[in-house]
Amino acid sequence: MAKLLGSRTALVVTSIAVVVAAALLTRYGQKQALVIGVITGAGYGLVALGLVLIYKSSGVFNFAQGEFGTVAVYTLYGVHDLAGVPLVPAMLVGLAASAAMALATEQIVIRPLFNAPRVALLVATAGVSLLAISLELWLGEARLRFIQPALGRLDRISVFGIQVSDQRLLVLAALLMLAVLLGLFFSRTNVGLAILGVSQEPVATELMGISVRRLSSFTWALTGLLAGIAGMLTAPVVGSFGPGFLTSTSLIPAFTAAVLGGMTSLPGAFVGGVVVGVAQSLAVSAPAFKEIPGPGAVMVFVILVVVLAVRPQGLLGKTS
Amino acid sequence: MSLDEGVDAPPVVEQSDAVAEPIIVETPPPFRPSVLGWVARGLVLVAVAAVVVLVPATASNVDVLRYSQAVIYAIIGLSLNVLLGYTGQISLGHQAFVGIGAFTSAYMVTVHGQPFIAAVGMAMVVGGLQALFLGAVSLRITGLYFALVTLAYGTMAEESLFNIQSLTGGSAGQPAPKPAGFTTDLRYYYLCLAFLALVIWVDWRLMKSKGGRALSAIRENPRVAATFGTDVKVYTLMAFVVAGVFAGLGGALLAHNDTFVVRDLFNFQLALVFVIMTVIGGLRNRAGVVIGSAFFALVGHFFEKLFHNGLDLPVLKVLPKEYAPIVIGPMLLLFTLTRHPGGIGQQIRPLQRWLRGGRFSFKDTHDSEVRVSDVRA
Amino acid sequence: MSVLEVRGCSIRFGGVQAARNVTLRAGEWEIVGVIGPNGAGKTTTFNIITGFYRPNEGTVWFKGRDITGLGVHERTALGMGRTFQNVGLVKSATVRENLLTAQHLEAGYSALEGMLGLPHTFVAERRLDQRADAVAGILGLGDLLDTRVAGLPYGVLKRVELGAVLATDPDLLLLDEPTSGMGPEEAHAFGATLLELRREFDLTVVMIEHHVPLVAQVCDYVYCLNFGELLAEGTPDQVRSNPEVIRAYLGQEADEVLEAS
Repeated sequence: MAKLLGSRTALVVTSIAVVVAAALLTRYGQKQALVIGVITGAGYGLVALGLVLIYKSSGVFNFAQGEFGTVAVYTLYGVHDLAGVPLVPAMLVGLAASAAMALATEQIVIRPLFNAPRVALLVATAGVSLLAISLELWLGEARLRFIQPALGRLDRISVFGIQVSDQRLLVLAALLMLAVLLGLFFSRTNVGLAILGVSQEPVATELMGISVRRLSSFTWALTGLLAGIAGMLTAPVVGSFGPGFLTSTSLIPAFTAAVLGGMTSLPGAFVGGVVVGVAQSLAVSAPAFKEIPGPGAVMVFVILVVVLAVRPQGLLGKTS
Repeated sequence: MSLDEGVDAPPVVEQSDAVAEPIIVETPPPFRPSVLGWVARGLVLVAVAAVVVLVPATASNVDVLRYSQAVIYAIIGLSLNVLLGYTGQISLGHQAFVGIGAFTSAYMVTVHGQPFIAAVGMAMVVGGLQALFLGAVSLRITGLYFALVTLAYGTMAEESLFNIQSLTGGSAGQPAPKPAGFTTDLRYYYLCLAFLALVIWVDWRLMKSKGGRALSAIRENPRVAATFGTDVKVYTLMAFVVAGVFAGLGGALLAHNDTFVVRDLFNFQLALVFVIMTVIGGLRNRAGVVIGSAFFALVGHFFEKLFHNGLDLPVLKVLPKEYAPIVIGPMLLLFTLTRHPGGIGQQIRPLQRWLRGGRFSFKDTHDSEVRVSDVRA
Repeated sequence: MSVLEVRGCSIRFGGVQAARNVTLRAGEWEIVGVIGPNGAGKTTTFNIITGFYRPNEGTVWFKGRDITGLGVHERTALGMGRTFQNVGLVKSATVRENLLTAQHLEAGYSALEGMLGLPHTFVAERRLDQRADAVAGILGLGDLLDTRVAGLPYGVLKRVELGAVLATDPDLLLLDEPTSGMGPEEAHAFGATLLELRREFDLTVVMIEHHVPLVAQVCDYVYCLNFGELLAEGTPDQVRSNPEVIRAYLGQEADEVLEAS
C-alpha cells in the first residue's frame, strides 16, 4: 500500500494537480487567491523547513515549532512597537529569543528524554507548546496585537495583474534564499553534513571528533531561527497576532507540507509548503466550496490523509 | 488429552505429571492481612467514598459544578487512557470527540426535543462512529504520523464542524438544559458520578477479559498478538470505539453541566490538557487517571481558594485562575515525563496494592512508560 | 493425509529471492525437521506458512484447505501454533497473563460481553485460569505463574512460549529453533519433552533446528534448505549423509555433522 505511487508518478501527478489548480484559479478570476496561496505556502514552507530539520537530525516531531516563532513575534513587538527600538535590531532580538527558546527546549526537555520512546518526546514538545501559549495568554493577555509590515508599499509590483505587497514578496524571497542557503549548508559545509550524518551514525560522528551534543544544540538553535524568521515575516502579512499565533495559523499546514514533501527532505518541505498553500487558497476561495465551513482546514486535513494513505514517504522522501 | 481435564477440580497446579523438569522457585508464603488490616483497608475506602459523596453536598452551587466537571474530566481521561494507555495510540484531537459529543447531545435536546437519555445515547454513538473512522485511518498509518492526523482532525473539527450553525448554534452556542429529575446541580453531580462508576466498571471488566489482554498484546507486540489468535485490526478498532463512546458521553455530560455549549471551548489547548492529565495521571492506572483528571479540572478552583484574585508573583503579572491549569499543566507534564514517567499512578501503586490485601511496600513500582506500538514514523 | 503442505512457494524482497519453489509436507503426527545454514530461508518459509508473508507464487495447504490468503490469527484459529526465534511473548505481562492471552480464541465469550462484565464471563475467566494452571503444570512452570516475563532467563522464556502456544490448542506446532542457547543434554531433554507433548496433545510438529543429534532423535523426516531453495529431503540419516548437505554446512557446523555421523 505504501508504494502505491511511484516516485516519478507522484511528482508528475502533483505537478499536474498544481498546474490545474493554478489554471482554475486564474480562469475563474481568483488570481488574487493564487498569489496569496503561493505566499502563504512560502510561510508554511519556512516552518516546515524547521520541522524537517529537527526530524532528520533527531527523529523528533517538534510540536513547539510554531511557538518558537510566536515568541519571536512577541519579542519583536515588545522591543520595537512598545520600547521603540529600531526595526532591524529589534528583529535580531526577536531571532535571539526564538533561538534561545529552542535551545532551552533542547536542554530541558529533549536531552533528558533522549532515550525515551519517541511519543514521550512528542507529548513533551506539545507540553512546551502549551506552556508557551499559556505564558503568552497570561503575560501577553488574550487580545490581538496589530503589527505593521516592515515595508510599506503595497503595490510595488504586480503579478498576473494583482498587486503584491512588499511584505509578501519579502516572505517569498526569504524562503527562496533560505532554501538555497540551507541546501548549500547541508551539502557543502562540514557542520551541515555532520548534522545530517549524526542522525544515521551518532557513534561514527562522535569518533570523528564532532561533539554530538554541540551539534544537537546548534541544530535546535538553527530551527529556532527558522521559526523566528517565519513568525516575524508572517505576522505583518496577516496584520495581527495573538497567543499561539504561528501554531494556530501554520503548524498543521506546515506538518502537512513536511509530510507531503517527505519528512526527510528539506527541498520537499519547501515544495510541500507551496502546494499546501495553493490548495488551501483554492479551497477557501472557490465558489464550489462555499457551503463548507472552514474549507481551508478541511482541505489541509484531506491532503494529509491522502498523502499518508497513498504515499507516506511524501513526494521527495525516501522509504525508511 | 485436553487442557479441560482438570477444570472442575480445585485449581491446584499438579507438577507431578509435568513433561519437563519443573522449575522450582522459592516463593515466600502469600501475605494475608489480619482482621485489623482488613478493617483499616475498609475504613480507608469508606473515607474516600465519604469525601466523594458528601463534600459536594455541603458545597455551594458553583463549587458543585466544578466537582461535576472533575468527574466528567475523569471520564474523558479514562477514554483517552484506552487509546493512549491500553492501545498505544496517540490522540491529539480528543477535544473533537468530546466537543462533537457535547454538541450532539445539546442538538438532540434543543433542536429535536429528545429526552436526555436519548441525547446522551446519540452522543455516545456519534463519538463511537467518529472514533471508528479515525481508527480505520490508524490501521494504515503508523503511530507518530497518526498523532498528526488526530491533531489535524481536531483542528478541522474546530474550524469546520463546529461552525455548522444548525449543529452548534454558531458563536452564540447551543443550550443544553439539565435533565428532568436532575435539575439541581447536586443531583446532576450524583448522576455524573453514577456514569463514572459505569465507565470504571466497563474499563475494569475490559482489562480483566480477553479484550483488554488482546489490547495489551497488540500494544506491545502485534505479531505475537496475531499468533495468539487476536485479529489485530478488529481489536484496534474496538479500542477506538470504546474510547469514542466514553468521550462522547463525557462531552454530553459536560454540555448539560454548563447548560450551554460554546464551540470556543474545544480548542487545541483543551486537547493538550486532556493528554497531559492522562499522562500525569499515569497511563494504564485507572485510579491515577481519575485523580489526574480531577486534579486538572479542580486546579483552577483550588488556585482560587488559595490565592483569591490570582497568584501575585513578584515582577510578573498576577496569574488568574483561568490560566492556572495551562500554566501548571505543562510544567507538571515535563516533570512527569522526565522524572516519574508512571505519573500519579506510579506514586499511588503501593497504596493500591495495600488496599487489595497486599503488604504496604515501596518496592517494585515499575514505570508505565508512554509506550506506543510503532514508534517510528 | 498431510496436515501441512507447502506447494512451490516463492517470495522475493526487493532484489533478494528469499525463497524459491519451496515444497514440503508434514503428515499427521509427524515431526518434520527443517535444517539449513543461516539465511537459508527457513524462518521465511515459516513466515509464509503462518501468514506473516504472502508468497509471490505457490500455495499453502492446511488440513486439506488452501489457506494462502488467510491472515495470521485466522490460521491460529484453524489450529496452527508457532514460536519465534526471539521469543514471542508479551514481555511486560506475567506468565499467567500470557497464558490467558494465548487462550483468546478459547474464551467462550465475545469481547463485548467481556467488557460489560456479564455473569457468564466470570465463570469463563475462571475456566481459562484453570486451563492456564494446567498448561503451566505440564511444563513445570507452576511456580512462575505470577512472575513478569521480562526478567526470566532465556531458556525459561522458551518454555513459557511453548506453554503459550500450547494454550492456543494447536494441531500443528511450528517451532523456530526451540533449542537455541541449549547445550546437548538440555536439547536431548527437550527432545523427550517434545515426543511426550506430541503424544499427549496429538500434535504434528515442524521444527527449524540446528542441533543435529536432536533432529536425529525426534524427526521422522527432514528438509534441508539453502539459499531459499530445497537442497535435500529424506530421513535424518539420508539427509545428514548427503554430500550436498555436508558441503552447505561446511562453513558453519562441520564439526557437528561429522560428530553425529
